[in-house]
Amino acid sequence: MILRLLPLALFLGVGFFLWRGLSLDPSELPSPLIGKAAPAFTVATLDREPSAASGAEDVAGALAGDGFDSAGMAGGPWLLNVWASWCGPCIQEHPQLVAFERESPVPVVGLNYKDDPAEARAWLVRHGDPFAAVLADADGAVGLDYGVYGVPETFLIGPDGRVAWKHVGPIDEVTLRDELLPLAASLAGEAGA
Amino acid sequence: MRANRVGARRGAARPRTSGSRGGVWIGAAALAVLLVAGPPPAAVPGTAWGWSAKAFAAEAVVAFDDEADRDRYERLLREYRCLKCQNQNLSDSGASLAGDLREQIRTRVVAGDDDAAIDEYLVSRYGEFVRYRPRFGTQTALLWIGPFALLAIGLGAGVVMARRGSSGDGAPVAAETPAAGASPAGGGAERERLDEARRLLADEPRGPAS
Repeated sequence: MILRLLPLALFLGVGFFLWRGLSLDPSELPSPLIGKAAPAFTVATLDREPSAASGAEDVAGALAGDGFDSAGMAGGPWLLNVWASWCGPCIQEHPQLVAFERESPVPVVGLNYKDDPAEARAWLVRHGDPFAAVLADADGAVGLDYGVYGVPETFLIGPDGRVAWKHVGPIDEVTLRDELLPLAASLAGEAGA
Repeated sequence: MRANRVGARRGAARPRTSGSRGGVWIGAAALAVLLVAGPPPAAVPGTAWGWSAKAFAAEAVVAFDDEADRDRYERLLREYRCLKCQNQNLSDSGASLAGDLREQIRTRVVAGDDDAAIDEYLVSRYGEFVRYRPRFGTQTALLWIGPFALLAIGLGAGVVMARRGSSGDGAPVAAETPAAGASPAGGGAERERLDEARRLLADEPRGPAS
């Protein structure tokens, strides 16, 4: 009797895994950084029009001269968005970042990954600039430390300096509403308490 | 093999120093992904593709003072995955990320870091998936044991079914004797049916003739 059911059980087992596979994206990898301290770095900032900086006071502690020191972000949650002007999906993601900047008190720091500064500036003028600071990661060294393997990638770093959330690929409206905004709000509450 | 050729051609066509241009970059990655129709990425050991690494290596020739360093560098490149292309090792891949990681490994090899330190560097940033030969652990146990477990289940089922099949013929099987002896009623019913079958068989030649 058990033997009779074996093929059915095998079929259901294999079927279950194949069905699960339909909703999994093999290009999305779990980050080993989640829950770990965000790698510390110092990097040059991208020169922008002074008026363009929105919420620059939130990251003032990390800015020194024309450089950015991640240690200055300790104590408050912040969002690190890896983007580039050559990155197609970044255009798709950008409205969500602009909305996030409008709706959340959490500052958005842009990591301009392997990009040309002039093209990056032009891109921000064209698509809007939600970034409190834009960091110029010309050789991708910061990206390497954060395990970036595709652009865009976004990291939400908590008040304890740990990576609380990571998203690979463009953030869509659903991800923004259901994941990013609620989590950012709760982390900001933690930091305020 | 096909995937490797594509990767190599892509690598050769584009200097590794270039900052990737979005369209080309994504298109090429998509093409590579589409053409890779091989086994699941995690199950491919680096050495399976190793033969092609020499013939179609995407990386520029890197100078080493020490021959042993070069061997170690080339071996390490084949043990780690390019996260962008997923089915290519660092040696085969022409993606700019692979170039960065090759450079990191080269620096570390020349600096004299041991394999464990380099492994730690890569795994702490990119996770277990960066390895072509995953470490045996709780998360990867199924990956390592799964195929053998399935094989054992299949063989076991085959053996049991073969036994059932041969005993179902009514052929004399030693193991069946006690069971047959234990149920004389069943044995009697069986005999009756056999007799019935013989009678039918004996009747048959008469059937078409009449």
